[in-house]
Amino acid sequence: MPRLNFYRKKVRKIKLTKFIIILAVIFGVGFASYEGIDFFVRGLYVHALSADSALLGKVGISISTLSQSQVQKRLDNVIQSYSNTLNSQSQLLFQIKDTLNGVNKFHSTVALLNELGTTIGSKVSISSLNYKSISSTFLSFEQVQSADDSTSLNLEKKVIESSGYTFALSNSEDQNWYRASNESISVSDKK
Amino acid sequence: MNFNIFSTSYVGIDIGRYKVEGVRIKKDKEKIAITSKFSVPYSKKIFEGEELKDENEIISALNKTGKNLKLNIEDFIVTSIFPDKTLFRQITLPKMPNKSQMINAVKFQIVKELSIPSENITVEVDVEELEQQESVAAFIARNEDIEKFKSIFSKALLPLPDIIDAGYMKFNYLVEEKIKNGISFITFEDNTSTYLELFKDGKFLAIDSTGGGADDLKDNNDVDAKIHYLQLSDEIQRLGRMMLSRYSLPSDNLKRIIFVSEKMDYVNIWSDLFKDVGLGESKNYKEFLNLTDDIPLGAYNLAVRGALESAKIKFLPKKS
Repeated sequence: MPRLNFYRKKVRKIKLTKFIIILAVIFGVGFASYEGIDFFVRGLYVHALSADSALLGKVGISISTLSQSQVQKRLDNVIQSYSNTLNSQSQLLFQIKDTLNGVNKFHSTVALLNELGTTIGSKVSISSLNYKSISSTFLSFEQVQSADDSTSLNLEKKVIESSGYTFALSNSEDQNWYRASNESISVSDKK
Repeated sequence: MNFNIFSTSYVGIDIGRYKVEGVRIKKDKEKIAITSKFSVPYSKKIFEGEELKDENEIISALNKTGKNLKLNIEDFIVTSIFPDKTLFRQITLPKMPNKSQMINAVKFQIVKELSIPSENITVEVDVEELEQQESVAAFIARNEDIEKFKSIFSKALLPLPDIIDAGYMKFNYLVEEKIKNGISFITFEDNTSTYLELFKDGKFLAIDSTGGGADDLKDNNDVDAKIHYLQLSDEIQRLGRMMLSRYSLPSDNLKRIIFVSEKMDYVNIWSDLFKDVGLGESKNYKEFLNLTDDIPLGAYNLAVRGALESAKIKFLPKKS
């Protein structure tokens, strides 16, 4: 039987209320799907992290109650906190190391000399008062080539002497030890 | 539960020669049932011959029908243009792979034959058994008539119809399952012409027409009707036998001839006149389908046409 369409409307319309209901259903189904997938994924990661749950618990993370993103966020916070602590402790250790190396103050050298003197029990010679910090050989000092800051050098001499050490110059012409050139300055062992 | 986004309500609107009728049917899966129907006779004669003289009468009746049926934008609405506005041609064509090529070829033929610009016409073809056809049944309507029909709906403040069918097809869809075997005629009496459709095993073969129609039933009584249909019957018989001859069909294989009219009041008299003329079993359309008297036939058919667009259907038991 022929079906003749001398005119055929191209689109069929639906009422606005029906359109809104359909949209709501689509969004509802989408949201439910999202929740379903999220529940499934949560099951997967809870299973995957179950062996580490005690460790996570110690840092206040419960994988059974938190979503994946929440766990990740809290882990980031804990890691950041640990990192900050480590940074701060590391910084302190660096300061201690610097202090031990005697790079901050010359007084540290005295402490080191004191320590070394105690250890080896003999006279220690200082080659230079212009010390450098060389971590592996921090007690190797260069020879003084010119020393004209008598105030600071005398001050240091006093500090060393007050610690119980004596200074002696060798091959000095005028006995002004700090003006010496190509001379060796020695610090005696502790009296 | 029905999950269809679109409405499963189909509305047939039959703008007839004497009234506007509407039927709303509901399709539930494969079953359909009439949910409402409405009929508005014109207050006066609005056709002079086949020429429409008062469009406003149709617009008014259409508006009332739409309101009564509560038409809305979701309804799938099917209607048909007047029968005389559709031209039928059987055209021989080389075999073509698809409908659009066939329509273009038919247009080319029609343009040559009628000397009318191709952009002014709409062509439809019967694409059943496309591969096997040597000739094609082509139906032609002027775009001007189609647009005029659409504008009637707009003026009546109704949604545009989803489909505009041909007027002389508007009684076919309810019977198509019942004429699947043998040769059948459907005789449709319009106001000034009568159309005769020929089917073989349910397949449409041809349509032809003769003068004389329901406008001739002037006095509205049995005697007048009998005289009218006696005169018309001779023409119908002659036309029927000529069509059988044209398609080389044996008249002894005729199964049935079905009668339907724009005025159904006297169709029984008409069908009775064909009881013994050798054109098969003679049946009044309603009698053939066991329909109740008050169902608007054209509108019901057109509503079913809409439902047929999307699925196979079965009819629920008749409701009185």
